[in-house]
Amino acid sequence: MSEFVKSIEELQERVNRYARLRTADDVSITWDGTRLDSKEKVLAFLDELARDRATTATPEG
Amino acid sequence: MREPRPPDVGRIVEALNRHGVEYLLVGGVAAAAHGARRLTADADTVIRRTTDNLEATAAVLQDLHAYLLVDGLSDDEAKALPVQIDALALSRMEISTWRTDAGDLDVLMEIPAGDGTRRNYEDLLPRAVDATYGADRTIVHIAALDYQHHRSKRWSNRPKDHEALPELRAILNARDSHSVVAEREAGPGR
Repeated sequence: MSEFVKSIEELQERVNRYARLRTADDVSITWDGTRLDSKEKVLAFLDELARDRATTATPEG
Repeated sequence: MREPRPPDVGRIVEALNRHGVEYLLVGGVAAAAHGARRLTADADTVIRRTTDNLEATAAVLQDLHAYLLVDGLSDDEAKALPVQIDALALSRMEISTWRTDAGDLDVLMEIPAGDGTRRNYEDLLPRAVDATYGADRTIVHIAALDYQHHRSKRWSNRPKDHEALPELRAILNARDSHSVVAEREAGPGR
């Protein structure tokens, strides 16, 4: 069994050798559990962020 | 979307350290550091969830020309999404998956623990292995294999995580994680 890596170069070599393709379940997930696995969901998320930014930027008073 | 190439770990670590991001390597790259051979082509990090650290992480993603990975979208379509990479956007995602010039990079705020609870950066840091690399003594915090990988993957519902469990268990049985930490702490010159 391989020991703990001794260098970044060794780590990179292991990653290059053994890395496999990502799977479809590797997606961004918001805190409410929404999986950002489609363009529509991402755009809805970005719209919500934009509204929050606009609210934050609104001057008080 | 084009197939990912393995992450450029050195470049990712350099960018994170240069921006002063407080992070841990977790997931497949961290498991590879411990000797595992089952890993996906992305670099997973758990970052400390403070505004300053989120801003620093956002700066890293910007430096690496990151764009959000979205299943079903081509690279050009994903790049065209109006994603403003900043602390606010990162704070709203428990997990964010990015494609960068240095390969795929996931930014996590927490990971599931074996008891149904969740572990964040502060929880994981005390048991991390502090690996020091290179002439410039780059410090990389790598999550301990026994605590993070085994217990979190045990509770994961993803088939690939369950597939990785036997190997991780074998590594743990063959080597004590505490002895690895002791070896690091008793390194040359200390």
